[in-house]
Amino acid sequence: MRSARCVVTLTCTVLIAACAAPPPVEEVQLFNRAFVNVEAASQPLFDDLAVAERRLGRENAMARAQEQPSGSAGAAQPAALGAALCKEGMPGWRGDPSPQGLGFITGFCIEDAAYFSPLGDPPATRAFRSGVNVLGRYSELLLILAEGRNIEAAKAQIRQIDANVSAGLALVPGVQLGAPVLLPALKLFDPLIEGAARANNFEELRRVVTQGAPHFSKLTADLQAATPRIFNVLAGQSIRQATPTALKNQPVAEALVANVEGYRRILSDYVLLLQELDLAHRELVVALQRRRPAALAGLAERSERLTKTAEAMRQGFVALRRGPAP
Amino acid sequence: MPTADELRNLLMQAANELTNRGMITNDTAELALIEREIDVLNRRIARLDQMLLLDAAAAVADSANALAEVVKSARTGPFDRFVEEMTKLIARMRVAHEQTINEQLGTERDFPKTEEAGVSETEAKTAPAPAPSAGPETAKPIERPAAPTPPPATGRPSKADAPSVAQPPQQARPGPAAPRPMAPTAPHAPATAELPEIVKSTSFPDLREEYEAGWACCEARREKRREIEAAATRARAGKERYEEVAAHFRDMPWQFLAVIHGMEAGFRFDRHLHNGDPLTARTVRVPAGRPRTGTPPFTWEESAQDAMSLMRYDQVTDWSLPHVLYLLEKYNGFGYRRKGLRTPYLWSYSNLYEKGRYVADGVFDPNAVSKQCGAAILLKELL
Repeated sequence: MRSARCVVTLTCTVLIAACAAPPPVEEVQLFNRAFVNVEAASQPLFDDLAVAERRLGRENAMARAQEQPSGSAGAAQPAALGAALCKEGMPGWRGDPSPQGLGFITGFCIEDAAYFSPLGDPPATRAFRSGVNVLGRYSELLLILAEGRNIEAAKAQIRQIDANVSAGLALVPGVQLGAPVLLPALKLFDPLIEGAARANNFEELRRVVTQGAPHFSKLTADLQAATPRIFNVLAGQSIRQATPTALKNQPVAEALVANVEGYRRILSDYVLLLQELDLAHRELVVALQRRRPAALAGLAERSERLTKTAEAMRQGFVALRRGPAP
Repeated sequence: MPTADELRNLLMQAANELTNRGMITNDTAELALIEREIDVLNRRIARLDQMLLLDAAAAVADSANALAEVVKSARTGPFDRFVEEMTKLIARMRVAHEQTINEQLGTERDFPKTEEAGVSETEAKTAPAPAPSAGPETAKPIERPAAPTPPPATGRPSKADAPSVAQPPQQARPGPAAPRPMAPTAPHAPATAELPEIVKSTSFPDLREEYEAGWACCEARREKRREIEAAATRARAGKERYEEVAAHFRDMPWQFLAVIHGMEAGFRFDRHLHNGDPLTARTVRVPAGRPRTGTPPFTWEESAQDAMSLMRYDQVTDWSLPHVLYLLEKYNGFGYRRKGLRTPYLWSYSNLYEKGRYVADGVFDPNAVSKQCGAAILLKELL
């Protein structure tokens, strides 16, 4: 019977644990909308990056092979400038030695496999896309805790516990076997249980955001810091093609310039999106730590700005695909 | 030494200078030379671009992993802690209940742990008859099983159909049918003197015939009947729980689990099936630290499932009687077989075992007598 008292005491403790802090539902929803915009804008960017990275990887593999001295097939070579070391030894080249010449690499380098296979993303693109996915999972988690999407499942857990307790108590001599022990009380206190669940969610939300804030900021900062590298790869082919001969040809020059500047604009929007997302998160953090609603108007304005920037980025892609105006 | 970024900038600057020069020159030879040099520089820049991109990706991956850990650590159930506490409380209630039942049935004396240091025959005292059990699980009358019928002939005809004449063991072999769970074999027992010699192999195909013959001719010792029946009653009392655990393993008969439970933990549901250690903590004796997952106190079902998985019984598909006997002997070890002896783990309390057992690791006493009902005898009682 002492066990039965423990059960009831523990249950009541949970029920009474509801505190009066309102959950920051609107703030989290706004932050989530901000992230959705970032993600929608990121995907076409990463799709283009995957193509460019793969092309760059193949070109570098061919260039390394062409630079190998004749008769040194399979010999391990010191790493050429900026090249990934091929564990199997640098393969050679057979064919026309000019940069766009017809020929093939006489070997297989495992490190280059991701650039020759169309399956999945090449390594850097995969990492960037995964980074944005993690931001998404974080945002989704905050939404679950703020909106209480887990409460029905939690109530089902309580009911199951009640059934298990009743079965357990039935084993104790002297305990009358009948209806579940806690269920009548549970029905009476259903609103209180819901309140307790929301309160627990709020505390967990605060803990997660407090713990996650520095990592969130670092991740968005690292994604921003990667932008110049991404630009070099996306615009790299056009830059390499911008030789004196090409630039003297007006239509060719215009196309090359449009491509380079198109990516510059898209990536500029991308950086702004990331900065805005980070700021939205910081405001959410402050609102949670101060246990009062943030300036909802401020969050709404930021969300509006994000939506417009994301749309501008989308338009940038459309223009890039279309090419320069005749 | 310049950084990769600085090097790239230098190379790009050089390429820009050359391009600008190429834009204004009219000398075709100079232009061709310039473009060749630009191409060399572009190749170098391209490799730096790839390397720098991968460096940036690595930094993003590290940050993403750190944030992912925070997400993973989140408790998305608002009552998870409460549920954990309640589950432990319920487990403690069940353990307390099991202890109460065990005390009522006088468990401490009945089923000694396998391979504990025993006593020699000269010191052995006759075990008193088990106290009449007052618990509900022993209230049922004990029914002797009907005479076992041979399995349906799916291969060559079984010579077990032959009536009363005692057949030599090698002729009592059933047909090579697919293994049926715990199908008893020949109904008539050959004389023990005609039993095949103990095979010193540990491979089941080599031992099958010996198990079949042993099963056919083993009989419970009359003076041990009450103990055997008491053990079988205890086993049947836990049938539902055995069935629940056995259901997790393909076709495992509940009797197999019950026999192991009796042999290893004296039918106590407050002890680990692995070795009889208390369920309030992970196992201490060999195998130590089990179960590896979950938090103590454990339910008996959790422990039993872990023990069965540890022994890889989830991979067993042959639950025929000879193979079950093989699994049981293997569970305990083949030490007796290597000495040319029938293991008391299977045959104690039967006409196939008299004396001799390991009283400590590696220490064999030819006069020590096992004080535990053999697994095969108990199994025969349950079928």
